[in-house]
Amino acid sequence: MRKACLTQVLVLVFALTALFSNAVSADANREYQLKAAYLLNFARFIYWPKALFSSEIDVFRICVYGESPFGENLNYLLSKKVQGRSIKINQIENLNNVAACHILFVCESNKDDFYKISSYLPQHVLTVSDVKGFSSQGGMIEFIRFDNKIKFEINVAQSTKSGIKYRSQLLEVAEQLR
Amino acid sequence: MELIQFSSIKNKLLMVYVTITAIVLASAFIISVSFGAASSKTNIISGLNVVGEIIADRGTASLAFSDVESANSNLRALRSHDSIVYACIRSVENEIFAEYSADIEAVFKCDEYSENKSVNIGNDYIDIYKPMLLEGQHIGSVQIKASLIKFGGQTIKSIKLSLGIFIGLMMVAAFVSGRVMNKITEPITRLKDVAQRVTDSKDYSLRMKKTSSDEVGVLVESFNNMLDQILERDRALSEEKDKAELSALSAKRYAKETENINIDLENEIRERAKIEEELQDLNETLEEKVQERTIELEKLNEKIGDVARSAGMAEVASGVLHNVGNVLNSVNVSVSVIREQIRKTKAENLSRLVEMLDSNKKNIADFIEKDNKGKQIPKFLSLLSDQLKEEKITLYSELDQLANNIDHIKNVISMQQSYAGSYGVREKVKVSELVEDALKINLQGMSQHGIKVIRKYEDIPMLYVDKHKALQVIINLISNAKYALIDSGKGNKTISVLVESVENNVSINVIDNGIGIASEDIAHLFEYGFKKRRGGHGYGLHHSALVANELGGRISVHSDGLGEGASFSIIIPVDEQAGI
Repeated sequence: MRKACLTQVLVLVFALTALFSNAVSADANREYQLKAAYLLNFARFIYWPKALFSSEIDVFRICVYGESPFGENLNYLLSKKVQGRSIKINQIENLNNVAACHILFVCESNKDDFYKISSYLPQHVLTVSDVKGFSSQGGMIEFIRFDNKIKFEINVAQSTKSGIKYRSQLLEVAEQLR
Repeated sequence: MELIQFSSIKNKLLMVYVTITAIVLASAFIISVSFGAASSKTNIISGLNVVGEIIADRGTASLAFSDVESANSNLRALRSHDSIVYACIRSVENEIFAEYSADIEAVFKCDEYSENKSVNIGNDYIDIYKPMLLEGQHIGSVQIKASLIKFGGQTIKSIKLSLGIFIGLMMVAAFVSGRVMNKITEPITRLKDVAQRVTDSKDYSLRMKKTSSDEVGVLVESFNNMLDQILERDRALSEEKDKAELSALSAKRYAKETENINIDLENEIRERAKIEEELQDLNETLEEKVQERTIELEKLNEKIGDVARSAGMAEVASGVLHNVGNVLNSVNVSVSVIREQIRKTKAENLSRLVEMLDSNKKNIADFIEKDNKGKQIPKFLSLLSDQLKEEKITLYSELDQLANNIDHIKNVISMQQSYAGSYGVREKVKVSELVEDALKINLQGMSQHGIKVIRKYEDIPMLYVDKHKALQVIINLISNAKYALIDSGKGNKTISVLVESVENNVSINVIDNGIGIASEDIAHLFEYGFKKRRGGHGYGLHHSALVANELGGRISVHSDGLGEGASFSIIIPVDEQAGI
């Protein structure tokens, strides 16, 4: 089982590498692979109240706001599950629809729009971005580069305001807490 | 043990408290150590399991976010566990993600994770393997290695600690017990001191102050009461002592007096002994005299016996004479009758006839045929013959009677002779023969008066008695009965003589249906000189009663009253030794 899984992952990795080797650099591709995996891990280290889902089969939504830097990397998540729920990736252009999202990835392109209304966002939406200063300007988790490794910062106060509760392990791994 | 005996109560109590505390603590210590030892391995495993779980849980995020640093720092937290010597985290790809070693020089290997391996127990080490899961998905594994030797060291350490605690607690217990003990024993000690002072000074007026109302308080109170009582008794004793001294003085005086009296008494005793000696001598003389007198008396007794014998014989003789007299009377009568008969005999007529015939002897035939007188002769002869026949019959009968009487006299005399020799001698006698003899002696009068005698003799043993005395009594009774019958004038006169054995006695009963005895007379019947019958001498029954007594027996009488007859019984014991 595990071996099958392992093979699957390896095959996927190779396939993805082959597919995007021309479009983006290998490094950038690797970076967003990791970030996609991190998004999944974030989802797994946060307590999601049952009330957020309409039914048992309701999906877990990851929304990308703006021009996605992930390319095809997010598709890797479609086979994964969060709390037993399938994951759906939604590309959104308007923050009016954000209430349906569980994780909102804010892209560089739309950061200003986001900042404008960040304090009006509905509860229980985890906001993630790799925009520099995101966690200090109303965002919750910000990817950073540290020692040539991808790390992240968490704005706990902002998260708590939004009703997001992290598991302690995540907080331990975070590079910095605000 | 001796130490306990001689130490104070406080020390004893302290010893008890400390001993109990020691026992309890030691028990707790031993129990905890042994339990710990028993479950140490299980404890080690479960403890390691917990640690493994925590590390695995804490490490999930590090692994998920490939944060080696965080994983390493996570593992370094194991430093606080002395026994854990090594730990490592492997990724899902089975690559070593993070490692920790307590001793840098020691080289341990991170084992590959396998799902069905969770624990591995070696001689020196224990390995625990835990999977790392994220949302039920396997993302890696943790291995933790612990040294059993170090665990042992820990156990020793914990034992040392327990021992330290034990000693500390003991000291605390001893200290606290000492403090408490002081509170308890202080009044007792004071009481002891007061008691000691009382003993030493003999001052019973000392008292102890009561400070509490517990058992010690009660003890103090009792002690004070006791002292009160002792004081009181002391006083009473000294009074008694004075009294005793006084009585001792008077006792001494009495003793002196008693001594004097004793001396007097001893003198008196000596005198008495002297008198006694004299008396002894006198006694001896007296005994001699008594002996002499006894001999004299014996002689006299013999004489008296002879006299009595003679008297008895005289009695018998008188009885015999009486009988013989009666018979002689009959003899006399018979002789007179015969004489009269002979005097009146018609035989003389015969001589006249002979004369008549003699004078006519020549013509005797004519005389008889023709003479008037001669014609009468045959008739006369036949008459005479009849008369003579009659006379002969009468004479014969009288002569028979005479012969009988003489025979009777002969019997009586011969009987008297036979008894005369035996007076005062006891011999075997058949009772029926004795009774028969007595009847024979009385027979004369009885046939005369038509008295019928009924005999009824049981077969009884021979009696060992003075034959003569016994006979006397029986004769007397039969004679009395005879006279009672004669006097009654009844037509049917009967004497019944019954001889029977009653228990160990022979009872001779003489029963008549004669005049009987008035009830008022019965009581005087055996008195001397009591007589009812004319011609009686008044000592017959009296004498008989005495004789019966001499024979060891007695006489009894019964009568329903005058005219109702009487019954006399003489009862003589069969026993050979009884009687005279």
